[in-house]
Amino acid sequence: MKQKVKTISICLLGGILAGTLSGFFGGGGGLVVLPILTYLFGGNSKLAHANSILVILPVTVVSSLVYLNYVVINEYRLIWASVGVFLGGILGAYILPKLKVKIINIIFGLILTVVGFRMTF
Amino acid sequence: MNEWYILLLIGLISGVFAGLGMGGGTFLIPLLSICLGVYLREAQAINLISFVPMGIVAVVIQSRRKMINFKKCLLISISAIICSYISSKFSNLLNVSIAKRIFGVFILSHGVFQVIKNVFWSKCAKTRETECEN
Repeated sequence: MKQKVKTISICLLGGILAGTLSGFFGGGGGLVVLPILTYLFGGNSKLAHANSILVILPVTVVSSLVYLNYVVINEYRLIWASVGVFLGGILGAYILPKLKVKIINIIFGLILTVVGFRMTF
Repeated sequence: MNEWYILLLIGLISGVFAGLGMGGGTFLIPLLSICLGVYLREAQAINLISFVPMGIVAVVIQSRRKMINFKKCLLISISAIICSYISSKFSNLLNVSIAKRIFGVFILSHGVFQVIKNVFWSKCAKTRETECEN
């Protein structure tokens, strides 16, 4: 019983945090969802990665509909970036089971550090 | 408008991470605004919209592998959807340069954490991996 309450509250809190981040900054929800899903799936990071897309998908649909109301988007940029994301995403989804999560995490962390530094300063 | 190959490359890089389920948006937004000087709000909207078709295909791929568990994700999804609707309504109240800073600090700290965790706590991660395989 106690375990169940704990799980439910972690899920709710994680969802609130991920949703707020995605809404305000147009992304980054996946980062918050990952540790929670890893906990839910008992430490299986591959399952967590696969399911994080499922959690984030409806969130992006909802927030992009809201964003479309007040943001002017250059279609040229949107189309080319979308094609890139689409191709890259399918590649990523296919290679997920074959990858060592740890190495990917280190690469991911390094790039994030550099990009975050540029963004902040 | 000769920037299509840059856009494609940025999209590919962040798409791979998005398809892995690591949050490609954390890449696409800063890369767009740093490399091409795209206005932050536009970068956010591009990120959100471009994720949708890819996300659908990725979920189909993973559910064919039986890696998707709808029941476990339901509660997180519902609370996340409600909060994202509310916060995206309010997101244009936040000053763009402040939003940029906050987002930058967020991904910077996450990147540092990710590197430290995976390089120095490798023992812990290893035992976890083997636990999963069994």
